[in-house]
Order: sequence, then structure tokens, then C-alpha cells
Amino acid sequence: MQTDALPQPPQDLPLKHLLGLEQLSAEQILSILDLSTHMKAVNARRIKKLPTLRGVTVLTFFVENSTRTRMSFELAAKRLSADTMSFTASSSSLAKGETLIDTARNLEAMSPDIIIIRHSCAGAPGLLARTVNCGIVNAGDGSHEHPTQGLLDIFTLREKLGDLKGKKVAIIGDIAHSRVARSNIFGLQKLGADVHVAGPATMLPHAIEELGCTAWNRVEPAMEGADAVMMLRIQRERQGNDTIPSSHEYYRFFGLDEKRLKLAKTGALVMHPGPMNRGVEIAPEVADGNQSVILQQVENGVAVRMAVLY
Amino acid sequence: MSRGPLLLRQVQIFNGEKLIQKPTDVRIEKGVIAAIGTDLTVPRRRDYRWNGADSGAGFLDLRACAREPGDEHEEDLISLSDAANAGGFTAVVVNPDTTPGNDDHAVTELILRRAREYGHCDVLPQGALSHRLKGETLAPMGEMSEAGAVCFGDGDRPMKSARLLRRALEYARGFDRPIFTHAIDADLAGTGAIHEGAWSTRLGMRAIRQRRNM
Repeated sequence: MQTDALPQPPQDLPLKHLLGLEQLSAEQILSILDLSTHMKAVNARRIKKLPTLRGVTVLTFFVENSTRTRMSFELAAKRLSADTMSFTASSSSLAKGETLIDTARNLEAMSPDIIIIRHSCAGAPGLLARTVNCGIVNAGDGSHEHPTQGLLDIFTLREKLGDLKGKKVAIIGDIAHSRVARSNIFGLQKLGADVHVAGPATMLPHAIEELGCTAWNRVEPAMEGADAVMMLRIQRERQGNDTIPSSHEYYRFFGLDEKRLKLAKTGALVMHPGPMNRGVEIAPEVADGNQSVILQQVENGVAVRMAVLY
Repeated sequence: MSRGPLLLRQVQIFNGEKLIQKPTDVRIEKGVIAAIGTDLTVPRRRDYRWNGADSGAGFLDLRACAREPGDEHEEDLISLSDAANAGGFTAVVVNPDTTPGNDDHAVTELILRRAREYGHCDVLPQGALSHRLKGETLAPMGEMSEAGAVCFGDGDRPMKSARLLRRALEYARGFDRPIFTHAIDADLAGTGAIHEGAWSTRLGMRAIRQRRNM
């Protein structure tokens, strides 16, 4: 196994928990990203495995549906030689009425080292972190944060754009219900990026500007001169259907098509955290076009999650 | 409508705030005021002496029921614009509660095309705020704005849902359009026909309760 090129975790890492990017310093974010670069190199090898977490138990505790995030975390843990267990809401004691805290305490009794949790309630990972002794990694809590998605987005942006200081990043769509947006707003600004958010006013949460970003209720000003455009999924399952008249109208005024993409800088990056609704928030030719880094985001997700668990 | 210059002689001008008492002449060319002054001239046939009549910008009716498309036997855009003209109204906002309702850009475009054909006054469509004017989900205000809707509301139908009204106010902001609401609580008003007060009591009519009476 080739482990020679790997660094020791920097002084400011490891963190006991990763609950959100709001609490991290720019240095901590950059340390995780530097480590991710090494992990990406590991993933490019023929034998994609490190012994680092041998004997460590990682539990994925997903109380909300997920495919790619859970698989990405499990793969990351396995590549670091951890033992993994997964726990989903539908098959669990939660469905039988147990409280989250009781479930977590029972899981803790089995001595996991890290619990990766996704929950529909904002703050659930923080509650767990205060309740149990093992490390907690937030894999998405309600509309609050999705720190590893934020990190992988920032990693992808830095790979393509270098230093993010002064770079304009437009985040477009349902900002109100998006944990991806919040993590990106916190993380990108710490690295000096100029973050613009846009969507119909029904999808822009109250006082979003107080997080430091610029908000628009039309797409065009946010897109203008942007170095990267991040499209968010229209999350119908998280809201009543009263925020937009129809998918058709949404696409017409807020969707990313080739014409609108021309407002951004030449060669601007097109990103999407997935899963995509083609023809609702993004045109297929843009999603599959040569400015799209959507699949690279997924690829980088494994490396970033390895770095977080490392 | 008008071809060639037109002169309104010796009128009192209402400037939007007050009536200017001094008689003045107004010359109109191609439907636009070209000159305001004294002793203006135009070819004789187009010279109207009004001797102190009031003149001012045309009135705007913010709420009219055009009934076109669908119920032209009650009212159509011709009769509506003739009536408007007769009363000094040069622009009329027409309600969306037609058949079908104006909750789609195709209906907005149809109304505007018909209004242009008749050309008697400016017809300004109010787009529906909700789909089918049912007060449940938002109507496509963006597309209707592009088609020419100037504001949004459900006509004479009061909003059932404060939540939808909030969404509409937010959504319309992106298209820079105001929201019109029929300021009545349907549940409270019931089948009332008159404001609640001494007169409703005297006449024995079903009354609409007002806030100050509560």
C-alpha cells in the first residue's frame, strides 16, 4: 500500500465534530481541502485504500433519504479501512417511536468512533454532538448545513479557479430550503469569494443578506460576470407547492440555459449538487456541456469525505 | 383614433392636483398633447371651442369587469371601452375573472389583441394571482407580465389564504408588479350585501361586518 506521500493531519485538525462550515476558520477549511488533494490522488491509484482508520467504526445514521451522500461517505470510510455500519430511518427503532437521543445513546453503546448523521431537522447533529462522546459528522440537517457538500463544492471551485478571493459565485434556486446554499455561503465567504444568491422572492429567506451575500430576485444580475454558477434543485418535497406557479415558469425565468449562461464569464463553471431536475432548474445541454463540473463534484465528494474522516 | 391635429380651445386644465382657472388652449397631435398656450391654431374643422370646460389627463379605472372572453353577452371590450370613453376614462384595468380566467399568458395576449383592434381606450389586464382563480396555487405571473399584465389579483374574489397572498406579494416583486386584493374576508362577509350599521339594521339586509364593529 502506498502511504508515503500522505501528510500528518495539520495542527488545527482533526476536529472532533464537523457540524457546519459556519464554525470553521478559513485555515481549517483550507487544511481539509489540502488533505482532500492527497485523498484524490489515492482515489486515482489502482488500489484505492489506506490503513488509517483500521479498527475505527464509522456509523452512517441517515434519518432522511439519500443515495449519493451515504454511498460517498461509506466509500470514503471503506477506503480508509474503517468498519462501517449503516442505519436508516425506515428500518430503525425511530420508526417505532424512540427519541433521537435514546437512539443515539443506544448506538453509542456499541462504541462507534464516528457517527455520520443526516436528519430532516436543523440542529439534530448538534444535539447528538452534545449527547454522545463519539465524533459527529453532519451529512445534512434540514435546511441548515451540509458541510461536506460545501467543502466538495469549494474544493472543485479551487481546483478550477485557484484562489477564490474576489471570485463571483452565483447560487441560484431555492435558497430558503437549501442546506447546500448555507454551507456554501459560509464557506465561500471565509475564503474571500463574492457570493450572490438569486431566486424568486418566495425562495429567498428573510434577511439572507445578513449572512454577507448579495440577494437578487432575478437571475440575470447574479449571473452577470460570475466565475461559477451553482444551480440548486427545486425541492418540492420540502415545501408546499405555493412558492412557484409551475416548473415551466420556473425554468423560463430562473432556469440555467445556454443563453443565460452567456451572462457569466466565458468558461464559467456550472455546478449542481444533484439530483438534477433537467428542464426545471437546468437545461440538459448546459448540464452536459463542457462548462459543467457536476460529475467532478461527485468524484471530489469521496476525496473530501475521506479527508474529513481522516 | 384621431387623425390630424385637434384643438381644445378655452378649457380649464386639471393638472392632477388642482384646476387652473385661466382658460387655455390645448393642441393635440397624433393623440399626444403638442402645445398648451393661448391663441393656438389648427385647421378649422378640428377646432373645438369649449368655453370653460374642464380638461385633464384621462382617468384610470383600476377595476372594471370586461367579461371578455367568455361572457360577451354581459359586457365586452367594445362596450366597456365606449363606456369608459364616455366617462372620461382613457385607461381601464380589467379583472381576470373572465371565462376562461386570465390566469395564463395566452388569455392576456388575447385580451390585449382584442383591445388593440377596438382601440377605444387603453386596456390594462389584471392577471390572476392564483391558478384558475381558486386561491390555492400561484398563477404564472412571470409569463403574464411579459404578455402585458400590469398587476395581479383574483378580481372580486377575496383571498382565502393569507399564506398564498404572502407568496404572491413576494413572487410579484421579481416582476415589479403590484398585487390587487379584494379586501374582504369571505368567511366573515358571508352573503352580506351592505356594510353593517344603522342602515343595514333599518333595511333588514344581510350586513358585512366591519373591523371597527368588532
